[in-house]
Parts: sequence; C-alpha cells; structure tokens
Amino acid sequence: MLRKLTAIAFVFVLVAAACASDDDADTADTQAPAATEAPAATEAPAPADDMDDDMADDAMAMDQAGDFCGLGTGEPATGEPIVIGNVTTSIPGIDFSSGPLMMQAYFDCVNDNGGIHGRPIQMVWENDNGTPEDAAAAARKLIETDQLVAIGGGFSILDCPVNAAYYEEQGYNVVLAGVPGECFSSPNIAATNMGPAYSLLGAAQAVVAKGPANKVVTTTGVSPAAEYANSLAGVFIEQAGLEWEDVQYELPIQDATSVALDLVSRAGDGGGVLLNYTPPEGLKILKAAEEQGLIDRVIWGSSTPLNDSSVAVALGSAWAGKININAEFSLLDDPRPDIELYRQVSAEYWPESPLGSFQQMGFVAGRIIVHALLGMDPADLDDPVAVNAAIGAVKNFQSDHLCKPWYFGGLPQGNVPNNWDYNVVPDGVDRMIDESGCFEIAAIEPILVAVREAEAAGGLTSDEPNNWKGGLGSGG
Amino acid sequence: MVGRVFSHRAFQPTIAAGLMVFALFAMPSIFDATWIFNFTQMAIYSMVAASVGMLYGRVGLVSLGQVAPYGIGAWVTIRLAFATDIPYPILLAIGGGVAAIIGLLIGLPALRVSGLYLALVTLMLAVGVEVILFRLKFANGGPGFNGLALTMSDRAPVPRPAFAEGDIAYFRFVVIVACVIFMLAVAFLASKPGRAWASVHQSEPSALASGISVTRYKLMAFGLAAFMAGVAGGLYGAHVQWSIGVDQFNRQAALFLIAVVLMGGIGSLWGALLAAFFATILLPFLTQNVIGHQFWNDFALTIFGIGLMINLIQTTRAMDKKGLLE
Amino acid sequence: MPDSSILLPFLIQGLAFGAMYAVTGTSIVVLFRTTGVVNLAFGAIGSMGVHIVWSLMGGSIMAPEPQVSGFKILLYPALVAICALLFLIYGRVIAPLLDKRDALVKSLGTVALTLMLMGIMKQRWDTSKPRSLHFPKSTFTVGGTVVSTNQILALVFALAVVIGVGQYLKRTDTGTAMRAIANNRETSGLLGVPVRRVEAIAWFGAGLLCGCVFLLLPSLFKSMDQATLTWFVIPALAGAIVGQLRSLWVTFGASLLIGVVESLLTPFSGNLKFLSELRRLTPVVVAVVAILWISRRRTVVLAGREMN
Repeated sequence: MLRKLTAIAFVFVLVAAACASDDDADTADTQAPAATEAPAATEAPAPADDMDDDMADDAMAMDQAGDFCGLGTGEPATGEPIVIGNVTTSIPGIDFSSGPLMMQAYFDCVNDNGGIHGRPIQMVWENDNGTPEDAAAAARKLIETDQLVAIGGGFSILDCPVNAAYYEEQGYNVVLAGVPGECFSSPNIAATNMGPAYSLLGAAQAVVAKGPANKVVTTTGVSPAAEYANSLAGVFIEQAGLEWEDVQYELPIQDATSVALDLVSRAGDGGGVLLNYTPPEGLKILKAAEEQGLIDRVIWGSSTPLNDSSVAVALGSAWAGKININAEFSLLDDPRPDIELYRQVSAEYWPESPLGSFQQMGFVAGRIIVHALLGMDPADLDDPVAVNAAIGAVKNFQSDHLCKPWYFGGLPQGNVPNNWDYNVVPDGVDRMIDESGCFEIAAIEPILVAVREAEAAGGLTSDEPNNWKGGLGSGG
Repeated sequence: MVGRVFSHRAFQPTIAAGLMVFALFAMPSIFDATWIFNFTQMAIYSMVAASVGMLYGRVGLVSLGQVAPYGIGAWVTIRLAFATDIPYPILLAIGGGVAAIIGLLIGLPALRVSGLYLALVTLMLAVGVEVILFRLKFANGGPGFNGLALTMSDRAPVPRPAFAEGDIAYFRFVVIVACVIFMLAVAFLASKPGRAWASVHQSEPSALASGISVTRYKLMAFGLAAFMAGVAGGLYGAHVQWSIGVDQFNRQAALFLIAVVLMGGIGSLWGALLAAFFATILLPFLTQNVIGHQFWNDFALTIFGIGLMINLIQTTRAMDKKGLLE
Repeated sequence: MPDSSILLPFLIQGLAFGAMYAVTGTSIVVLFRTTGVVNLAFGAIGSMGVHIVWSLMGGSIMAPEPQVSGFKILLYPALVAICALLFLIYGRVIAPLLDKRDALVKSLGTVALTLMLMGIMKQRWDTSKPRSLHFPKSTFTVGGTVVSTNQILALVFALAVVIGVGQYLKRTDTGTAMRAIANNRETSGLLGVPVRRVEAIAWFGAGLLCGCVFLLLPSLFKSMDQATLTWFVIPALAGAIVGQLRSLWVTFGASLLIGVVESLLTPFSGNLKFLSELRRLTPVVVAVVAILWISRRRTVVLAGREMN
C-alpha cells in the first residue's frame, strides 16, 4: 500500500513540476492578470466630465482615435456586465483561441477605463471542438439559454456555415474573424479579417508577381472548407498562365519532412508553393524545408496566419526575406496609435501572448464592438435588437490595423470589409517587414466584385488606403 | 413476433412507452433549443452505443470500430439526400443497408480472430474508414461523386425531411426512429438469433456442438449492429446539416465510444441510453454549470478516462466476488 | 510514377519512421507477452513525457523551441525516465486491479489511461502555438539528399532494440522468466517464477523503449503536437499485429515495410495522386492482409493460448 501511495505521490509531483514551470496555457476562464495601472489610460486625454446628452457621440469620436481603451477614463467599470459570446475552434492543429482571448484582454482594458458607459464588458467563448454539432449547440446556448445581447469576436472553422442562417433568423449581426467562405457570403456576418481564401489569393498575387517558373502548388489541411479556401488562389494562378495544383494533408501534419519534399517536388524547381495553415502547422513544413535545403528551390508564400512574431523568431535567419506572407493587418511594429494600443494592451492584460495576426483580429473585433456599444443610448444596452442594429450600422470605422476603414455592410451577397492588405517577409531575427504597402486583393469572383461595387457607391469606407510606410519596409 | 418483442425482459414496455411520451411531448416544452439540440444528438448516439453494447454484451464480440458504419451511413445518406428525392426514412434504410453490407465485409475477417485481436482489427479498420472518409469528405450540395461544392453559391445544408424541418420536429423524428431501431434490436434479441447469440456468448464450442451456425449468427450480429449505426449516421447528417467532418468517426471517437458504452453498461440496451447521456448531455451540463466551462471542455476526456477505469475495476471486483474469475 | 531520384529522401524518411514503428511494436509485443496488456496508451504516455520535459526545459509560448544548455541536457534522459516511471506506475498500481480479466479488458484499461492523459495535456498545454523539442542532430548530404543523424540514429536504434531484446529474452534469467510467463502465467507462478517482479520489469523496460521513441519522434515529426504523438501508436500497432503480437522480427520487418511504403507513396501525382492521398491506409491494409493470410485456415489465437 505504501508503495502505491508513493507512486501516486510521484505522479502528482511530476504533474506539479510540469505545471509549475509552464507559463504557457492560459485558459479562457483564467482572467488576464489584473493591471495595477492601465498604461493606455494614462495617455488618454482628461476624461470628459461634461458627458450629457451627446455623451454617446463624444464617446464614439474618442474611441475611434484608437489612442486608449474605450472611454479612457481610468475609472474601473462597475455594475451588471454586458456579455458578448462567441463560438471558437480550439483543437490540436486548429486552435484559434488567441483571437477571442485578445478581445477579452481589450475588454479588460476597457473595463479599467470606464467600461461601456460605466458597465463592464465581458467575453465568453464556447469551443466548437471542431465538430458541427457542438458549434450549433454552442450558438443556441449563447443566444437562447444565456440570452446574450451580441455574438462577436469568434474565430471558428465551423461557426459561419453551421450558424449563419440561425444568427440571421435570431436577428444577430455578428462581427468575427472568419475562416470558411460563409463568413464572407452571409449578409449578417462581417469579419475583421478576410479569411484564408482571400488571404491566400493575396499571397498568390505576391508570389506570381515574383515570376515563378511554371507551376504553383497550394496546400492546406483536409477540412470541409478546404476546396474553397485554396480555389481563389488557384483561379488567379491559372489566369496568370501558370499550372496550379492543390494538395491537402491530414491535420495535424504528421510528417512535415515528407510534406515539404512533396510540395517542392510537385512545384518543380523555380515554381511556387503557397501554404494555407495555422502557425504550428506552417512552421513544421518550413522548418522541415530548411533542414532539407529546399528554401531556395521555390518561391514560398503563405496566407496571413504566419504573420506572427513567434513565427519570425522560430524561422530565424535562414528564412530572411524568403517567404511572402499575406498580412491582412498592419505590421506589428507599426508605430501608429491603434497598433501601439494593441501592443500595450497585449503587454499589460495578456503578457503571455506573443504579438500576431490572430490576436489583432480579436483586438479589432473588440474595438468595433466597443465602438458600436459606446455609440448607443445606455438604456438600450440590454436590448439585443438595439445592440445588433448598432453593430450592423458600423461604417467607416478607422483603425490603423486595417488598410481601409471597416464597415459592417449587411450586403446581400456577403461582406468582405477587409479587402486590401500587405505582403510581408520575415526579417531573419524577430519580426516581419513590409514589402508592398497596402495593395488591393484581385476581384476575381462574384462576392468581391459586388463588394467593390457597393464600396464604390460611397458611404462605407474611404477610397484611398490608409497606408503606413514606415522606415522598416523596403516600400512597394 | 411482436408479442415476443414486448414481453422480452430487455424491453420493459411501460418504461419505454413512458419515456417515448415524455420525449415526444414533454421535453420540447421543458427544454430550450440548446438542450433539444443536444438531446437529438443523444438519441442519435444512443443507437451507435446500442450497437456496440449489443455486440459486446449479447454476443461477446468487441468492436472498437463501430464509428466506421456510423460514418458510412452518414456519407451514403447525405450524398443521396442531395442527389435524389427519396423520402428520408427510406434514405436512412439505404444508408443503414450499405453500412450493414460493409459491416458484413468487415465481419468476415473479424470472425476468424478472437477477443482482443478482434478489437484491434476493428480499430484498424475504423482507422481505414476514417482515412477514406477524410479524403472523400461529406457532400455539401455540389456535383460529382463526392458532391462537394466549389463555389459558395452551391453550398447547401443537408436537407431534412419536409415533415421535420424545425429542430423540435426533427428531434421528434429522431426519437421515433431511435425507438424503431431499439425495437428492431429487441426483436432480434427476443427471437432465434438472440438465443443463438446467448449460447455463442456463453461458449462458442458448445454452441457449435449444439448445431448452431456460429459463423452465420456472428455475421448477423455484425450486420445488425452496422445497420443500427448506419441509420444513426444518416440521422446525424440531417441533424447537423452543415460542415460535416470526420470528427464523429475518427480514432479518438472510436475509443471514446467504447469508454462511454462500458460506463453506460452493456448488460441491457438501457445502458446505451445512459452512455449517450454521458457523451452528449453530461458534458455540456458540466461545461455550462460547473466551474469554468473551458476547463471542463478540455478536461472532459480525463473524466471519461477515469469513468472507464472505475467501471473496469468495479466490474472486475464484482465478478471476483461472484467467483467468476477463478 | 515519380522519378527515382525524387524517391530517395522519402525512402530515408520512411525507414526512420518504420524504425520508430518497430521499436513501438517491440515494446507492445514484449509487454503483451509478459502481462497480457496491449498498451494503447503508449503514445499518450510518450506525449505526456515530451510535454513535461518541454516545460522543464523552459518551453513556453514565447520560447516554443527551448534551447538546451548546461545541466538541462540531462532532461533528455529524464524524458526516458519519466516514460519508464509512468509505465511502471500504471503496471504496479492500476494493472494489477484488472489482473484477473481477459487481455481485452486489461488493454481497455490503457484506453482509459489514454483518455485521462489526453484531457490533462489538452488542459495544460493549449494547442494554439507551435512547440518543438529537438534532439540534437547534424545533417549531411548523400547523393543530393539531406540526411539527418536522427534518421540514422532511429534506424540503428531499432535494429539494436530488436537484436538486444531478442537476446535478452533468450539469455537472461529475467528474459527466460518472461517467456515462461508468456507461455503460462499460472504454472510459472507455481514453479516459483516471481511473476509480479518480472511483470514490473517488463513494464519498466517497455517504458524505457517508449521514452527512447519519444526522444526522437518530435524531431522526426518537426513538432510535438498532442494528437500526432498520441495516435502514433495506432499505425505502429499494425506491425505488431502482423507479428501476431509474438514475433519481434516479423514486427520489425512489417514496421519497416509500413513506414517505407507510406512514405514512398507521398510524391505520387497525376492519375496516381489518390495513392498519395490514401497513404495513411498503408498500416491498415498491411494489417488486414496479414490477418487474412494468417487466418486463412484457422482462428487466430494469440500468444499460443486463447486469451479471451
């Protein structure tokens, strides 16, 4: 018996050792460490004391500037929280939880700065576990069981296709970060990002511009959304007179060395290889390619997820300038205020997290939702109809993270408010650098054509991109 | 025949009828949309669990691969639902039938191996079906053999039967189908095959000696179990409708299935309901009502692992006490 | 059909993975023969060990690939020790509780362990960020193909294991005792073989092999994600099934074959692209064909006796 107890004790010690030295793994329910002093607030102008009738208008104007969180009062919010829920995918191989967790970090900062007219705002996320039945049940739970006023900030491979019709039926306008095509083809969903299909198209534009020999291979993980995710890049590649092949591998990728060899041998010397993966999966392939000496055999490209500081660090000097990553958001070291705010909120409210695109998506979604709520009559904040009307009405929302101002749209064939972006390359040390400035994603399919027409009609966004050409990039 | 079904001890008609009435009429007004959705999944899963429990508990055959006919039934039913106007109940029968045929093919090599080996072989076969389904993918409104849509405008949900479009109506439809499937299982158990299975379970050599065609009845068991799981797969398709992947049918799902089935109990078909309850209701309940929900979601597998372990140890103790293990 | 010059790197990688399957298979066979347990938790335990060591090395989201220096180099042997101890603890604490049941139920106990460990890992090491744990290596080029010392090491190690374990079973007292128990546990016990002690040694030894496999696997995989490491046991099981959970050499050969075929199918394209897409079927096909061949005339009975 004694021996058994010793053995059990040993197991606990082992697990405890693992836990103690692990500063990873921040689960959703663990609150981000409370800030002793919110840096964002200190930079804010003196809080408006005269907030009366046009309080909402002032609040909107202040929050648009992107210098500080929410109202920037430095006063902690109290009272009944306003809860925003979402459905997010977090499974091995496909884990997007850093998006909503960053939104939560932004909300925490807002809550230290006056909240939504004094009330705190919170985020809850439901894991769809990569299964459609869980995704459907989660949406029903958030809306009908928990009766939340808004759905937003989710980042899922399943939420849009499974729940778009349900959200519409329930009258919810959803701001999220999207993966499947349905996030961009549903009138009541608007994403802060442009999703893998458009992003890989952007990467294809960058790679094709560099003159691949005669074939470009696109690759992603096998999933219900996979065909569509790479099809737009494929259309563009073929229109450019090149051969296109799409290869899909089971996720998580089991044998990255074989995959890297396979991709390069399919593309042929001087061809192009476009990756459409999350950072853990994409990195496996790139590290294997490095080991196999394949970096210079083809022109490499990737959709937006690899635009992440941890990826730049992991890639190291061998990959400096060697992979064209489509960045749906501005560079992470862009000095403009909204991005500075993101870095501060990240450092203060979620220090374990590296800087990265997924986090930017959640951050921008959080800012849009807070912006919409601050523009409302405080008396209506518990009314889902009013809240969703306010979210659906967002237009011309300025953010330095995006090339052009964001809008919800509500367009009948779908919304793609983020449709200009950057091409970035790793600097070989610890960050990505801009190669192109903002450029326009090619409108080669009906949805984006319709979106551009609606934008041209005016009122939704600006005509010219809000370009940042800092000293770091080579310019485009 | 019908009389025998209703009088069989596994059936307990009063409880079953009461449960049916409760599910069909009371539950939709007691529970909100989330829970009705979860209970629909429970009814579907109970059929898969029943197929595993029946094979193990009544015939002594352990299949770790019942997710395979579940997935095959889903694939066939979904594909045909897009391609044809055949009424859904008939589609379910076709999906179940194809799953049964493949179940029989799987059963053939499996019959030649015993106990543990059978479990391992069925697990390998389930992995094979997983790999194939992974590549085939599930139809979503497009053309061709796979039925995969290449443009957004082609994508469509798996159509539900016209009489069960809404979540509540579909829930009732699933409950009725599940009841029919359970009665089918009881019908087999209560008649000649059931008695043959019982004697095969007790001792294969003596069954053989008493003139029972062991091979035939074992195959029948595999076929019936695959049919049950296949029908469940077809119901799963129209339950979820969008973005169906292999997650219900992969190797993790296979091991999870055997765990909950053993936790539910394999002594009677009621255990299948309990197993499905563990898998589809208990977990959402824990995640929603106890401590932090994300924690429970992540930790769920551990709980089921502990549950399975306790179950194995308890049954061992119980058998030991009865002197069955000496 | 891909050009033969393209195939060489796939062949090397296939041999390395086949070698890892072979060591896994050896561990499974030896443990099964001695204790009647097919350890389906092999991958989960290894993955747990890898994650613990990754954390002990200072791995975090900010340092997904911890750099090992100084005394931390000792954490590599610690990985082997952790796996062996987890095996031993299960073998001494949990496995005896199921001692009297048939091999199937004993093996289902390891399914329970797998589920437990998977939940802990998922909860403790979230899956949103890349992690890796690299075993030190260097690379060289053979005929235009880059070969890493880890790939060579995998193959040499597998060969050493199959020879070494075979000799151990033949020549040492404990090995003889293991073979005796495998033949007949009750009789061996009556004849004075210390069954419990020999079983503990088998658990420990199987765990050592597990630890060694998982020293190399994250490097060969280029990552250490939980699902890949945990489910590695399933294709690896195919080799042991072909060996009827009995023959080490058949297991070794089948494992190498599976690894090589699986890898060589990767670059097929054009009309034969389906071969590439379905290459993960290799272990299943090999196992099922083997079963059909072995069982063509009789019911297959495991390890010389009906264990069910």
